[in-house]
Amino acid sequence: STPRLDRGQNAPRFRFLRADCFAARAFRCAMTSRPRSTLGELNDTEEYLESAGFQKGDVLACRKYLAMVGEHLVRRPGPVARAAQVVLADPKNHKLGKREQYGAMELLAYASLDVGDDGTAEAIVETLQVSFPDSDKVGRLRGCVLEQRNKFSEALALYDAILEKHPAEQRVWKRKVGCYKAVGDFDAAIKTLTEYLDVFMGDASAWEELAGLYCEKNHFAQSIFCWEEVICAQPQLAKHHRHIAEVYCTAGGVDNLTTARKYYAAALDMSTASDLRAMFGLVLVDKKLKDFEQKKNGIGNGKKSLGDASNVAQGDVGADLGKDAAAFIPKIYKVACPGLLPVVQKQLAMAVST
Amino acid sequence: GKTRPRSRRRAYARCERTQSWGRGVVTELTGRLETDSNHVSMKVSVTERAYVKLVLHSLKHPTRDVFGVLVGRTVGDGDLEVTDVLPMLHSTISVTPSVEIALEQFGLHAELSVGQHLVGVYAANERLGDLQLGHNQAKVADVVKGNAPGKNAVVFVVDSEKINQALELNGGPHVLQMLIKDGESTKWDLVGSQSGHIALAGGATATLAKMATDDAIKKVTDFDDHLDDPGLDWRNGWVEDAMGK
Repeated sequence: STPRLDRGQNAPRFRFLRADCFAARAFRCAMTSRPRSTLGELNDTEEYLESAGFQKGDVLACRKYLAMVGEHLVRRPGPVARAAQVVLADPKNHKLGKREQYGAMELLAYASLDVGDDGTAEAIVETLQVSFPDSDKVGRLRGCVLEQRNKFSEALALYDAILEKHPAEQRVWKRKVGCYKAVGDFDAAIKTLTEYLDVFMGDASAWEELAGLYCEKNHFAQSIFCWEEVICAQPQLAKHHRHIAEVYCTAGGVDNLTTARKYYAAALDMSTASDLRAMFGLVLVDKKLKDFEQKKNGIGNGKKSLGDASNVAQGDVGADLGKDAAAFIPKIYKVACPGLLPVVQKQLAMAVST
Repeated sequence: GKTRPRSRRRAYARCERTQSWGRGVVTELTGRLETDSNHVSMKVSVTERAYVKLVLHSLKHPTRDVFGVLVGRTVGDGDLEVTDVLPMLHSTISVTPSVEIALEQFGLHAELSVGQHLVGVYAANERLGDLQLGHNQAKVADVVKGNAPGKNAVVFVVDSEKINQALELNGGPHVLQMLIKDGESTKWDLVGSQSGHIALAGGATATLAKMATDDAIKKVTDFDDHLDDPGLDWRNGWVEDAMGK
């Protein structure tokens, strides 16, 4: 049989779609201007459910919550498990439609694995296996259940079998990486993730994960390469610039610290001076560079420059940033957390004076 | 009696050849005197609030590496008392800026508030059954040990497999594994009962079982959370109040 891509690309054309066909609904979703939910809405719904909704058995709120969880892909096993149980236990659930029911079952399965409720998860897997014998989603779930039982080699074999049939299953690739991480085989995890990224190079979160894996092994140059890919994908997010600055700062050496300062400054600029980590980072970079000056290492200190340090101007670009940050941080603490102000002031005084 | 037991006489005889006696443990069976003071059993007493804060912090992030610092002082000869715990990170420890800033602030806080020092670190690893310190965590532990008074420091690792039992109503055994680093060794090793043991304050496990509610777990904040929102306080002063009730 011809391999079937998962995203409905072989769906029939628009005119002949039936009302409850998934592709039609997706098409209509994209075309309408209905606003998608925000993370704040999700948190508010969760708070409502925890306080009153679950006791009342509020099915509508549970359905909305599950839809938002599916959209934002957050990991909240406790509330999700309860919400899914409420939805599935509802006597009127035949009105939901098969898609939402099976979606709730899938979410319940993953949530109960997270919570440690293996029995529920396995029961759901068996039910789904009967309805969808050749499905990749069910295969993924079966693999997760195997991982839960610590049968990692069997899980990997299952994922490999799925990937042979459908090599474009992104989530199964990621589950393979997760398996290797769980076993502690970081080299295999990195290798698998690299193969995945050779194909799906637009996946910014995967580049982030690979950057983290390289950092764990102290391969800072490779980690910075990955962070640069993330920045290319999402240049407007300040936190990516901050992360890359942290890696440069960890790598050390005069060139890397100067580059770290540039990226911290960019992060601060993009976050409109609200990023406390970037401010502390500027103070730290300043302090480290002063240490180097005192040791009188004029050119560098032998640590390899990991980025393009040639476009850093001669002399000290942004030398005052550390001092400005050190002057600004106490103002934040005075308003936000006055109890910690003495400690912070003493620390900044030590950092600036050395 | 007047005559010493034969084993001890032999032990003293052997010791005359050594320059320094140090403090040793005489084993009566074999008569050997270990003059190396590092082999003395280290007793680490842990207060209730330190234990509760530590385990609450590790419960808050069940799928991530959790790291924090122990505050306390030396008591007696080489023993430690851990009076408080400062949660530090729930993200990766391989990038150091947050760690360096946190260590400075924690050290200053320990001195300024209670006149104590950082006497160790604790970690709760991502993977179940992983009771070793990762090499980045070990480096931070070395830094804390180097700055501790008398270079006397200890590492706690949370044994996740014991947490279920520990949260039962009457409180099970404690969930901490202790690691120490002897003078000559380059690794932090799990201690056997001869090298050291943890003396947990009585009733600490029961207090933990009572306090480990969803609300308390959500309320615990660490340095990472504080950097994201400066209004959150990593000192977690509310734990003492909640315990007192």
